[in-house]
Amino acid sequence: MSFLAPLYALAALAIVAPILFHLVRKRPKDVTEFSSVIFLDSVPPKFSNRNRLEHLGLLLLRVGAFGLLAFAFARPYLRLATDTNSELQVRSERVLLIDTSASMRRAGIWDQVIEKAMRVIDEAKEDDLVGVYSMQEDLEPVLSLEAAKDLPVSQRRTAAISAVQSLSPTWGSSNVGVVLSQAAELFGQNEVLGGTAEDVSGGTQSEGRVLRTLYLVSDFPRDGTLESFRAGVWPEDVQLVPLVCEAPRPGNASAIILPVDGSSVDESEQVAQVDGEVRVMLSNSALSSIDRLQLQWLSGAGVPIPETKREYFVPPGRQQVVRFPLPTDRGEGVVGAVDSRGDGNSPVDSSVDSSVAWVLELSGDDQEFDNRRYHCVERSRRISVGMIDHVSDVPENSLWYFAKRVPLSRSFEAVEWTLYEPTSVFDERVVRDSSWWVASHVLTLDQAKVFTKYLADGGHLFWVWDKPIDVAGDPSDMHQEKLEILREWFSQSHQLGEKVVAGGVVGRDQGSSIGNVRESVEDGFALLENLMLSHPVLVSFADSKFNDFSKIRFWNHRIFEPSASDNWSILARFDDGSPALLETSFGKGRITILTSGWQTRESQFALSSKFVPILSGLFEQAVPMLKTEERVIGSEVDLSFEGGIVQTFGGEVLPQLGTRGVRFSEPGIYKWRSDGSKLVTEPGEQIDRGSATAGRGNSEDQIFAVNIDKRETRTDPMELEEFTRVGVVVDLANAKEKALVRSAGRQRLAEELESRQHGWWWMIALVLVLATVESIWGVFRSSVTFSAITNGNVV
Amino acid sequence: MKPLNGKQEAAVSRPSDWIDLKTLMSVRNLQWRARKVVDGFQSGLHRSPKHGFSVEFSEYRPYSVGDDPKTIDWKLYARTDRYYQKRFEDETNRRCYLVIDQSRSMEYHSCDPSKLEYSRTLAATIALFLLEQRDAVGGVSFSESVRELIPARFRTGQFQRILSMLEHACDGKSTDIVAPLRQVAELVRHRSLIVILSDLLVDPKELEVPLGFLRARRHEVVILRVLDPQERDFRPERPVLVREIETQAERFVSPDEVRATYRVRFESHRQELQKILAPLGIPMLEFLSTDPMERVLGDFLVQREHPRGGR
Repeated sequence: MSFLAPLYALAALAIVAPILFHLVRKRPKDVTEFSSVIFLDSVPPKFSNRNRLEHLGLLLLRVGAFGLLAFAFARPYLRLATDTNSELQVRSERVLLIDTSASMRRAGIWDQVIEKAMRVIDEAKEDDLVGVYSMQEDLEPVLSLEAAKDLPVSQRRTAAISAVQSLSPTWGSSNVGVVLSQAAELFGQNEVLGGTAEDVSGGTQSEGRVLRTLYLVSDFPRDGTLESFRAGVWPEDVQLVPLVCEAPRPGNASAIILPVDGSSVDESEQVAQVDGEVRVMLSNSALSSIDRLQLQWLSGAGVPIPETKREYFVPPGRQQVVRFPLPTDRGEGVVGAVDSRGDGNSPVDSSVDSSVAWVLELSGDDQEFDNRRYHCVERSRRISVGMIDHVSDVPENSLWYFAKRVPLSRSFEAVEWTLYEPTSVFDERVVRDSSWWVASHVLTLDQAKVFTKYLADGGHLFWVWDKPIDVAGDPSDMHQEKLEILREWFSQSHQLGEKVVAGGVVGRDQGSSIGNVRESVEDGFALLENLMLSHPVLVSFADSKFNDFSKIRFWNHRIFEPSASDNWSILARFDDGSPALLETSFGKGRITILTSGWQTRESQFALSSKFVPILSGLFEQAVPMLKTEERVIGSEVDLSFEGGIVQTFGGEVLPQLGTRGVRFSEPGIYKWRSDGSKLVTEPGEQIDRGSATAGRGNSEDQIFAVNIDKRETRTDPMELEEFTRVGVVVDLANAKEKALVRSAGRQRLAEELESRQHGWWWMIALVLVLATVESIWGVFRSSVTFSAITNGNVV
Repeated sequence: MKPLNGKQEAAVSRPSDWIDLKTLMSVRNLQWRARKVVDGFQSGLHRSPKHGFSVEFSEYRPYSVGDDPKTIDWKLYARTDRYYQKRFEDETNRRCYLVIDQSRSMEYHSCDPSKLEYSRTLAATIALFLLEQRDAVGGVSFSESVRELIPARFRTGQFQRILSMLEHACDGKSTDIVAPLRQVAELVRHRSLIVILSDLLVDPKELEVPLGFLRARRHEVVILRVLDPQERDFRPERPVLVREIETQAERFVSPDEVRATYRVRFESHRQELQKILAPLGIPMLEFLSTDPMERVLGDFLVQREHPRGGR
């Protein structure tokens, strides 16, 4: 017989208690009061053998009940022959989940990781499955269970060892909660994969059991990410064995630069922040042994700036926000010289730098891995929007008058409108200088030809077919010119072929019908209807509170009947059924047409509340807003056009990526050049071009900082009991012991046997029977004794 | 106190006239009980205390200036032509203090009445008897110290005061007879008869000094030792845990052991008491709480008539 919890058997010592009680009970119950005891001597009670024999039965019952209770708690089980056989059929699935986050870079930790992982592999049986996964924000398979299963039994161990050795700590962050959810799913999938022992060992067909254990090798920082698993369901048959790696020096301090509010677009204000100071949150670990921390700025190239060094007093376990002045010499922090036009010939001009970068270095604490924070102060970029329109003596009759008043500027992005008269010199370079183009009816065929390449490369054009002011009656000629322009564009796209036309624009044969355009001759006004509210431009009106367009009256509009083969999307129609707002993709770019104008002689559109959202929506579609939140390792940095289309204006086509951005694997200061040809870190290291993206419509370079996640700086260990609290079946006994990994499997086998035999149930039942018999016997005895006393039979 | 005559002595030894103790003690009124005992005792003497009680002549003394002229015996002056004062025997010059032990041990009783109840009745009886003989009677109750003291007087209501003192509940937790006797010696200055009613279950050596004080003050001391029948011969029937009423001290005793030693030790204790009391000239009369009250009163009076070793 074996015991699952042998220490509980010590409770059997409690049988001494009833024996003692039986001795104590020998004391006379009768107490006689007497006036004086000066003539009496106290003599120890003498017991006769007769008394002992009389209570022996009760004593045996009580001793038996106590003993059985103790053994029941010790949870006995028998290693029967059948169980031993089934033990042979049990195989285990071990998943080694190794934390490779930045906090594992601390001195002395990674050696422990390798040692613990190797011990788990060593103690696995030959036919056990051992999977190796790395843990960061997600679960990444290094040697998946499926792959391990496909390997020959003899190679599994070697494969697991090489998988572990291939891992190294990264700069990324870990999320235990997310990873546990994924691990739970992994075991759920794998349940189908290997439910019987026969599958793995290839032996005879017999039902076998699989012991699933997840060995999580980590430093278990208290970063709060486990909370995200609280809603998850952990499979009951999977046991988590946390293997804790502890740094020899547990203390750590960190300096986090708090983000600057970039909501203001006033450039002077941004500059004031650059020249001022930053707020730095200094955190000192509770386990830290130091309380004095030094901060110092380094230049972007890593050169210390000694005059910026300051010391702060932060007691262990405390946080403190300090204002730390930026270096006064801005030139120190600029990363490289920025070629403002991207042609390689422009002189260095710091006044157009989009960003200034420094490195904040913390010194004085125990761990160095998180002591550098890269800081890049981004200032407002200029985004140019070009407009081709003719401004007459009455400005209200022009599109330009209303358009330039629309506030398109956004956080860190100042929008400048530029007006081009029909007579302006117009070439491809002028076109490319603007991120978005708006054209009125004055767009000529020659100008349109210049736009062809721009549109194919991803540019957006909003073409407004307003009515020429100096044309009376039906301006059929003007409308025919519009058709000519469209025909020109689509014929060009056909010539460019599939190389350019990857966005789905269907090329067409030259000379085929492009559609018809004519002036509407209806009296009165037209209203908008059939709006495609799911379109990104109109999605802000999706709520029924905002989608009332009946107050916008269009006095004049054109009736455009486009060819069905050109894939025009009709975003809105007039109430006579003709398209009002329609768009089509053109290469990487997009053409949007409004078949009326917004000036007051054409419609009430510019005066309505819908005008600014629609124009902003079109601009947002053309120039997606650059996200300005802090960029951290592992998170995706969005530098792309919509849809993850990656192509530059330089004519070079980069491979399409499935994602919208780039993942950075190392902290530092990065410079992204808008032509997409280079993505370099300073000094001079180029990162994988395959993951680089292109996209901005202007030619300014961008500098940005990528840091490790601030969660990784919190290295204080968590309480392992928290795993139990979120519902994970965890074996805490093995968490820190070195020699108990092997016993984890045995312990679980013993639990299986014990739970099957239910020995303790029978013992508890027997205890209840004994207690009942003892009670009845005791009551019977006391009633007999009482009646004997009342009858005077007892001496 | 008047000495007993021959009839009285005969009455004391006539048990047929005694009142049944159980019947007597079943009456709660202490005054009635005392009256009944005294009446019954005196009726056996064939003499009513209410008739023929006279002042007895003591002596003549030459008159001197300052004496009360009303005490001059004018008849003698007529015969002798000299002034003589006529002195009578003072009926109340005998003071008696009844010192009663009211500790918790006196409450013990293996059968009715308790020692305390018996002592109260006995004290009341003696008080009434003495008061009717025009003696001044006072009372002292004590447990670990003197609880109450009523100076010896012969006046109206004195008996009631003594009864009131006796009827106070017993609340003592221990008996310290030494300190109360010292206090009595200090408080009672006139030469008096001190009658101590107690079980005297204390170390005899402790009694020597305080009783010596009393005797040194020229007090006459009589000890009436009241015991429960069990106290004289304790015989438990089975092993039993004995707990002392006062101190809660416990002794586990076996019947054989007690049977062999208790009686011997009790006798030894009594002899020790006698050894200490005899040199001091203090008589000790020992009674059981089941003895008839008249016999105790008679023994007491007989002892007063024939004191042994008094100074």
